[in-house]
Amino acid sequence: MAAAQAGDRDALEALLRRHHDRLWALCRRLTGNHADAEDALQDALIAIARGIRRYDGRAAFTTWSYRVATNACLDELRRRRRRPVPEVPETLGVGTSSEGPGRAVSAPPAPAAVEAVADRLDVDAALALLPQDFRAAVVLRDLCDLDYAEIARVLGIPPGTVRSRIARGRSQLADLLGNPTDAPHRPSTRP
Amino acid sequence: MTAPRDPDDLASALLDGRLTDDEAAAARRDPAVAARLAELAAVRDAVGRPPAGPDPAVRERGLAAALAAYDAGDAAGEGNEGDEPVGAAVSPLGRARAVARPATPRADTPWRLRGRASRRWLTAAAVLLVVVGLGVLARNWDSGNDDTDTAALEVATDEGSNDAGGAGSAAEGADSGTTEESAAPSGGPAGIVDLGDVDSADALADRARSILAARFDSGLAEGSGGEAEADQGADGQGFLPPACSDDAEAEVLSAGPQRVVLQGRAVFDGEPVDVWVLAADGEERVVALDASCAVVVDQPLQD
Repeated sequence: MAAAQAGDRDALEALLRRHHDRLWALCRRLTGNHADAEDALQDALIAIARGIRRYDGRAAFTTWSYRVATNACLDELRRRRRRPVPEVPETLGVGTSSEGPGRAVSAPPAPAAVEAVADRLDVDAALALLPQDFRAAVVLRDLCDLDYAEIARVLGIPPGTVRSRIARGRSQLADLLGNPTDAPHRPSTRP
Repeated sequence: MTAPRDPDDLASALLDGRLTDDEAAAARRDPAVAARLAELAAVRDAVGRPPAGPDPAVRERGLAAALAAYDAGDAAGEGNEGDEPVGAAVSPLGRARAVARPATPRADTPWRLRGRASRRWLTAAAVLLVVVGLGVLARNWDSGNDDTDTAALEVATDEGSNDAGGAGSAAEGADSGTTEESAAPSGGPAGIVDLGDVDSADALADRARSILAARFDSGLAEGSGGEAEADQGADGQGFLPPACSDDAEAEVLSAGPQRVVLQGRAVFDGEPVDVWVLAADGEERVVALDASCAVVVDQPLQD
């Protein structure tokens, strides 16, 4: 890090390569498709490269780079918002829930149903249906494994808001993905 | 601190270890929370699975572009645009700023050059037109002609068939609103009007409608100066601020022949925006771009 900040190009390249995959994963999940993720990630990498000398170390580099990448992704989403949205698979059961997002659960699902959720869900399609606020919070938590304080710093929101966005985001995802009785069975691809 | 009551909130907080021991024990005893916990855990696991990686070639191009930007920063001696707080300030979600957007020339991003090379020509032509426009203005000034706004319009009209020329001229004006406002007739259609503070697209459209209606009533609308304004260019891109001329989203302004019937500024939901009312095919729509060139409003002007 210090070498990259001091102008060592090789050090920067090594740094970017080391963090590339996790930033890619973030962008891929936030944007929902490869093309937008590629554009957003490139923006983020360039921003990191250009800003590395001014990175003051107050936040961990990982957090800072997530922050840059998140901004790049959200900006990309805004620029691309007029592009057609991929059709949501029927298996998601969107709009079929009579209770809607955020509902209270009245009965526990069968364990097999829970397993089916993990097996057949189309994460990208479901995430695309979430409000961006919720999507970013959930992805930063569940994919990037940031804690609430780090997510708060990345998104610039209070930790309490982080918790509520994660909860509501997960809840909506569960509702979107958790209608196994309405969906045809899809064989698991798990080993 | 108030403990969360909603089963989803409880389950999610429990999943993340955000509850005290007592709260966690109570949550686990609640069948609804316990059931939701399993569902949310499944969601968490699914979201947590790393997606497929990018194409290796794409990866290398992205890294190369970043390193090129880094090298460009070295060549520039650090400073200038490099001093902007790139990525340092997080944009509120849903109002993303282009803080992470590369300010480097597109040559740094060779894999994104598709369709953008022509814009560089447009930019160059725009700069040329500005120079010509300034020359004309200076000449008129010297001759005692104080109708500088008319002179500028003439230049724009002369170059009207050249998209890039129109773009540069009008965009330059849009970017230096103070100057343009002082040059334009008071309240005239060529001036940049202040649409005030609004909190919704509908409110912005209402303001624009009111101003246009008032102008129409006073004969300032498309009768006199409005015609000249309409001649400024058939391409709406001609009215984009220079900083937005290369922005994909701002391309909405250049979709087909259209003319600007109103240009202004407003504070939209707390953020300053540039506003245009564009007319095309007998319909008008109001468009607003924020500081990052993101289109924050684009809707028909009609009710």
